[in-house]
Amino acid sequence: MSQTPPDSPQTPPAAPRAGGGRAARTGFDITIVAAVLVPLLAVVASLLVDTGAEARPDQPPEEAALTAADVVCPAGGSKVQVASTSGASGDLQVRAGTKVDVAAPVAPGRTTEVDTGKPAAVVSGTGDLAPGLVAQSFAQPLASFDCRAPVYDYWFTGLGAGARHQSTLQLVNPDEGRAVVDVEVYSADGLLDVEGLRGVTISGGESRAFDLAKTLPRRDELALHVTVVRGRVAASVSDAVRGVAGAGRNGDDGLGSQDEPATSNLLLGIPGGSGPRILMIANPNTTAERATIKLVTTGSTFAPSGVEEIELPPQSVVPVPLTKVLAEAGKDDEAPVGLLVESSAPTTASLQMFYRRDLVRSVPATPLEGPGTTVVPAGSKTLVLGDATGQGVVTVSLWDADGKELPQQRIEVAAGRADTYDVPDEARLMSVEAARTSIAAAVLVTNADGATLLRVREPVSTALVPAVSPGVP
Amino acid sequence: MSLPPVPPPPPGVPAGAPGGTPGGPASGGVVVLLVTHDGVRWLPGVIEGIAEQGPLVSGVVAVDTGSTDGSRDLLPADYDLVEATSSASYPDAVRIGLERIATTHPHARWVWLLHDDSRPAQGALAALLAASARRPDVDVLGPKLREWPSLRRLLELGVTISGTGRRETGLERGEYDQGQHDEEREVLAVNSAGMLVRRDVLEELGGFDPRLPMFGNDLDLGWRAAAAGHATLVVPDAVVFHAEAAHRGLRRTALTGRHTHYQERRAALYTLLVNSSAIALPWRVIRLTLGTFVRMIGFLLVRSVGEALDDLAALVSVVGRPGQVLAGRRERKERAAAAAPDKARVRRLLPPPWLPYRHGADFVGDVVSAATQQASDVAERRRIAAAEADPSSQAAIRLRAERERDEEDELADSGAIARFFTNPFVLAMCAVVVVLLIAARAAFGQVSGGALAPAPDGVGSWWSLHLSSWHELGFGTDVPAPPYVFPLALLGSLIGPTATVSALMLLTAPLALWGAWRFLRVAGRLVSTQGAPRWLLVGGATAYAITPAVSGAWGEGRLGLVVAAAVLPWLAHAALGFAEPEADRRWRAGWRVGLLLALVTAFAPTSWLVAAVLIALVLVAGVGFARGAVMARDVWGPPLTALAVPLVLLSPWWIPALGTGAGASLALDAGRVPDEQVGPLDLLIGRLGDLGAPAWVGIVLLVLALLALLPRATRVPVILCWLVALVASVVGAVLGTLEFSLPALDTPAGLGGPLLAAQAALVTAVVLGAEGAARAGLGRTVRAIGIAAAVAAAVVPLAGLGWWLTDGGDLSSEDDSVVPVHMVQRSVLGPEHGVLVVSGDIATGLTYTIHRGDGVTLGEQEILALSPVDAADAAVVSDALSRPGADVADRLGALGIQFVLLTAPVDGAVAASLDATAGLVAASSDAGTQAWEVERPLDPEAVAGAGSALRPVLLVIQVAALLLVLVLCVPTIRSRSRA
Repeated sequence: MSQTPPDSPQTPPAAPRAGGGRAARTGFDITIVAAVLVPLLAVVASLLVDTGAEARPDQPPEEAALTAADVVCPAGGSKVQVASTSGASGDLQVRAGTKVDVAAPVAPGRTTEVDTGKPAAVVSGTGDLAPGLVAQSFAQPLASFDCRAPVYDYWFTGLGAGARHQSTLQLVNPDEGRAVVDVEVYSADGLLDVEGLRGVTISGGESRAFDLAKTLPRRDELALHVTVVRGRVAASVSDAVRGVAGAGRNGDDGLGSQDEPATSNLLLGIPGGSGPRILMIANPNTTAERATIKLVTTGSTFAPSGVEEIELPPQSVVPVPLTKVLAEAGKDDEAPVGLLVESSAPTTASLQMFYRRDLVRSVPATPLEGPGTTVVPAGSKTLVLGDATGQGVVTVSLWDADGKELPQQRIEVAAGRADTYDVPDEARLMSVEAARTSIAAAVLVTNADGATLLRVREPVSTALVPAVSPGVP
Repeated sequence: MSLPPVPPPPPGVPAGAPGGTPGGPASGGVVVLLVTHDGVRWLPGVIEGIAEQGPLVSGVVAVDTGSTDGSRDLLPADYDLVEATSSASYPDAVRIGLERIATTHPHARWVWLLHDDSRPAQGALAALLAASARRPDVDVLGPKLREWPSLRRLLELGVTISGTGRRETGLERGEYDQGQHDEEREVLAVNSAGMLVRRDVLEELGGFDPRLPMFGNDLDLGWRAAAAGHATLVVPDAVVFHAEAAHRGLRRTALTGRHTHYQERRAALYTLLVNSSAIALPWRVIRLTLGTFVRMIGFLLVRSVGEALDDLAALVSVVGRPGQVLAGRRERKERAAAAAPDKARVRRLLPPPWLPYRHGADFVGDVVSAATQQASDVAERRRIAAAEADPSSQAAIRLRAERERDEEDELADSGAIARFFTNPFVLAMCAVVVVLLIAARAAFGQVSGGALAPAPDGVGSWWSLHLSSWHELGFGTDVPAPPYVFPLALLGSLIGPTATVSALMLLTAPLALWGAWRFLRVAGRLVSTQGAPRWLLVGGATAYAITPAVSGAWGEGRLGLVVAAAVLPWLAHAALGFAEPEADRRWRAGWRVGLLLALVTAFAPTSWLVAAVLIALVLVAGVGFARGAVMARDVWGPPLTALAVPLVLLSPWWIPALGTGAGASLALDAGRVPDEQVGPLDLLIGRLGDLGAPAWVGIVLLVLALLALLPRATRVPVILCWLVALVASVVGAVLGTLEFSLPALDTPAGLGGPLLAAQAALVTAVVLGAEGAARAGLGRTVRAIGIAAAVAAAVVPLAGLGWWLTDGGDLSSEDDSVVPVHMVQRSVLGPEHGVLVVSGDIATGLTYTIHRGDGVTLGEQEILALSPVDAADAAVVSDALSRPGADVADRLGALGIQFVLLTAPVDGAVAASLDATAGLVAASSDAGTQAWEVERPLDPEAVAGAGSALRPVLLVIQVAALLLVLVLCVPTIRSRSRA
């Protein structure tokens, strides 16, 4: 009964306490040593603790060669010019409307023209010919319609839905399954609720066109944001003006799209002449924003005198007349070749111009990460380079219609200016590659009837294979 | 009803000639029938007692059943000695005796049965005969039996038998005879020791049943007598002292054997079966069989394994040999053929049917009260032990003074309600509980969020998680369920899963408060006799109770840590039992600590390591400082037992975990991975992750714990608290170096267990230090510091509570599942109706989870996080999401995936590629998300897997060990010992 067990940690033993008291008087007290040492060690040990695993880094996708690719050429053009930068030879398939596929033979450097008629055409390449598909659709009087692989967001700025300015939205589903898109419409009065443009269904292989003048008749300028909800859809806009400025300026042109709004939009390629020029800026933000305009010449970038800061009401489209500003900015070599729109929040922009009474639409150029390519029509054309991030050299490779390579051209570029290069008339395929800098490029094609602007893109040659991993349950 | 004098047998009364006159006044002749067997210890007294009856005894027939101790030589010459063999049972001996009486005393009307250990008091026979004269209708009379040699305690005043076979005396155990039962009444039976019975009646009844050789034959005889219409009367004026030598095992014979309990129980069962009516017989068999199992559980609960087995053996012996019972019944039927049995009399004399249940309730009450008072005070018992060791010490004198004071207090005690409402500390604790409940209000009802997955819809999910070795989750996995699922399933079976989680999140803080109060009170009393001031206990307990909340564990939904924190003070309280002066209590403490440690470990696995290191350290230190004391088995045994118990109880978790590559679960906190980040000093300031209270509250506690080292009186206990904190910190530092790479992410080890232990130690240190400071009083110079410290000490719980009141953490009652309802409706149909939930985009990588059943619920998240992903299965998902081939839909169907769901924001490229995949058709989904249905057959066996044969074994071990530990935890009930 009287046996006493050892003290558990929580139990104070009687003996050491009494002993400690006695020892204290003799000068040495082990409890004092322990009272210092034990807490000190505890604090030191707890200071050593530092857990926390780093979050696993994002897993970038792998690039893999495409095995099948499509580019969609909107309706409006009459001839589709196709090429492949894959370096392989073979037949591309071109399907227009419900027609059976037409084979378009391609070889390295060679372009082929296919007469597709008015309907939209889907150009497909498989196997070796899948990477590097390039196409453009042209019409006379000079107009170009942007052929591209379907993406999931399209921003179109400066559309008309009235009698004089009529735009048609075209939605093409290249696949067999059903596709669904949502279209948001911005106007001068803000976001519009348009019944027929919500949840638009496009069945497999179908192409649907919306004449905005019928869908939502209005007189102001509009902007559209097309979101693909389901499936793949190529969205495009063909723009037409009838009798603008009283002088019977008519014309058609394709209106290119932007993938997303940006705070800095560089519109490259301004044809000469004194026709009307109107800049349209769309502010999709829910706040009022501001924008400034700079002119880009081959020598510099500068703010023109007499142009105020532009106020952008929330979710609205603002037209900015620039005819006079551009006309007065300079002549010949000092004439502006580009327009830089900088805004306080991401916006979209486009230019509506006329050249020899023909409509020319320009949209911001996308900086190229790698070689950019486009097919070009025969005739006079100018390559406009801009948005260089620094001093660099751009190599321009050219091929004629038979695939014969023309002499390469090296152009020195620098930040803060644009550069132009007059492309030989016989060139039909053009490739632009920048070294030591990134670059944006556009090709201004002119002839006696009018002009059009071509975009220089990186052809899709690889697919991104996402990294797939188990998630946290 | 005066107190009957207890005449000690006059020492020198000669065992002279008992009245040779045959036949006393009204007797018609009483012959004593004395059966002896090795009764030399008691026989002289018995002979004296018979002599004292005087001339009423007309003769003594002594039947000796083969005594070997010289009993026969003690018998007076005038006794008519009949010698029988040692194999003769009591009924045999009585039969032999009756035969002898028939020849030697043919006119004797009464036979007085006496045992060699039953001594009649003076006048006993006279009183019996007087009663028989008063009540001529009575055929059997019995005396009041008192204990021999104490002489004062009542043994029996007539007996009866309950429906469960219990011998009912109607007396409390060890009741003193104060004449409280002195009332002549009819009873079912009287003990054969001192039974006065008409000879003809005894012969008519056929004597005692030879199938009841030793015990219980008196009850059977009484029952038969009653059934035959004979009355049995107990006469309290007649007193016989009875040593109950055979019953108490003082005398072993071939007939009693070693197992007297077995014999008694067998006799009781036999008596019930043989005497009950034929209609009631099947019901009696069933009831006695079930009753035996209930009784066995009761015996096992109090660790009387032998008696439990005796009960079982008795049942088997009686029910297994129906021939005996049937023969007995036949005999009774033949004898009673003449007249119908007097059922009314028997029924009247049997005890009321509710009696066994009252005994059951009393038993439970005994166990509960023993359990609750058990650890009430280690400190008290240590002082008592010390005082007993040295009665002249100061401690002993103080103890006596305290006891006197307590007795006075008890006399002056007012009502419980008045005490409740006038006690400021009780009111303060109630207020704290109310505030704790308000602060935890987010946990009312359905609660999930942070690391806490929602509770499953039914408790069946938890049971199946616990019981099966293969889980149809994800791609199917054999990673074992986390250990806390078992206690959750047990609780959930009572109140449902949602209420279980809610109750745990709500009520654990009050439970921790209560436990901390109990622990701190006893710890305070161990340090000094008066104990810590109660305001200190309120503050300390509150500071501890909010530890899970202020650390952030509660707000992050770390249910495991919240529960572990509530159990920890009870564990610490039980661990104080290692310091008990009695070995038995130390063993009980060992088992109790083991059970609680298993519970804490189930909810916070790393706690076990802290306990292990701590116990190892204490034992090693003990060997160094007090080798003699520690080397005793009952000193080192209990702590090591406590460490081993969790290993056995949790074996269905950790053994398969190691076997399936999920060993990381041994070092992870319960809940969603990854475990919270713990930075430098966080262990001591009690912060887990970034959802805790401001760090300064924890720093104040740390500083106070350092200041607690100053008061000399309590310095050693405070250092011991710091030692606990040191061990926790070191364990934390070692665990902190670990990092586990799980399929989905990397996670550090869970430091919740060490953190709770460190916080508990610091709170205890502050309370003990403050107690020391308060008791010693402070010098003028340090008084200012003391006051500042007191204010700071008050700030810790108050600031923590205030912070908690305003911060709800990550918890919410909302369902954050992204899976649309229509898919859930399908997925609950079976495990093959899975939903592949995909998030992320191509640029940063896609991640997927698989929703099956009602989604990832509590207990499943750890399994999924730890399950290795089969490369082939992962490849199917990877192909489907990146480069879907033509057969992708078939492969998804074979994996038991019915839907593919892309969560917002949807990557259009992924969506488009799925749109273009044959066999996947668009399904409706919530705004911003996209879904496809797999239009291919789903494999019903997609996630099925082979179970492990090991699991049933482990589960049986677990349950058996749990029952064993529960039984071993129960305090020893002293009153059960018979001596």
